[in-house]
Amino acid sequence: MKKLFKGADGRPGSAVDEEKALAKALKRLADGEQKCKAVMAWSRKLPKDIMMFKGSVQRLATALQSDVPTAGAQLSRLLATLEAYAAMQGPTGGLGADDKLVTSSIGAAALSMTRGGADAAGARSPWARLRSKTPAADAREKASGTSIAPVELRAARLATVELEGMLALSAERSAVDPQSRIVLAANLGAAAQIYLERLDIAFPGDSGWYIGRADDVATEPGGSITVSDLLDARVDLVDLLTLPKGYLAVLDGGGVVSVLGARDEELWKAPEAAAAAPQPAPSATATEPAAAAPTT
Amino acid sequence: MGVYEGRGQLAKGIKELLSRWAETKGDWDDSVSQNFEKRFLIMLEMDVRSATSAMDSMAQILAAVRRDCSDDSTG
Repeated sequence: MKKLFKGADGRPGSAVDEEKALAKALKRLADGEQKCKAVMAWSRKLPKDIMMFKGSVQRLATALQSDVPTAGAQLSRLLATLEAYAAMQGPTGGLGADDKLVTSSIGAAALSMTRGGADAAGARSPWARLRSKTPAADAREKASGTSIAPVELRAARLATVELEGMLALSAERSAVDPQSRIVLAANLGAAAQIYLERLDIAFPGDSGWYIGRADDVATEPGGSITVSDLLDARVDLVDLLTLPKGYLAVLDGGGVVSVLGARDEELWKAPEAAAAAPQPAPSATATEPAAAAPTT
Repeated sequence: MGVYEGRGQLAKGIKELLSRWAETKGDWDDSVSQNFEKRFLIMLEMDVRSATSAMDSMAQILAAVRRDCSDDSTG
């Protein structure tokens, strides 16, 4: 059945106008069908392109999430190390020269509040027993050949008062070469309480420092790391590491527990550590195997 | 933000970072700074280049999608 469409004036439109409208509608239909095909084609292709795009920018995303914060933290540590060294410079000229003794007066007030050395002068600290746990020079030298990854110590980072106290602890400071090595006890990361003892140089490149477990577990030396590597992880130890030969410091989760001088006199005692000071104990017998993983 | 704007900001950011680093190297140029540059900055620059190249490609793809799929009568 043929239908005639009428215009606004009530009269049927001309055949020419209807043909034009039909042509226009057919063109729009063809355009629509083409767009529909294009949408279907892109809906198949676009997810692949997006995946390729994501793959291409993933490295940058990882770098921004991980590497950039790491770089910032490394710069902060370097800055803190430099500031700590700068703060140690005393009237004799600072730590620029090798093994130069320097004087520091920073933190004297803090030291006077917390150190226990003045009234305990001459008394042998019970922590002195730890010296017997330190391996002999030949054992430390042997262990120094095994480079290990920096160990995450459970000892708390030193608080400001302790940092200042370390500076004021000794008039004499003995700088350490950042590339010199520190011998560590095996399984040091498992120890809740550790000690750092500065000894005679045992081998070329030795810093003189040994870090051992202060608990009753006897361990073999597990390997060595550079001073620089230790400070990268624990810049708060920078002042402690310049204490001269013979000094011994005990650290735990609360910070510095005690610092002994060369004659085993207690120069620093944490206020709450007095009650927790160890009694002289029989020598430890349990020996743990070296578990440190060698690095390159 | 469009892809082009993001690409522009990224390129501007890395350019400024490398410019600051060049200034820094004037005062700090030793093995530590060289290791830092090698480990972080050179890698980051390469990653940014790769990302900006990918963003260029994606911008072209999105332009083609708009051209092929948009309704011409409304545009």
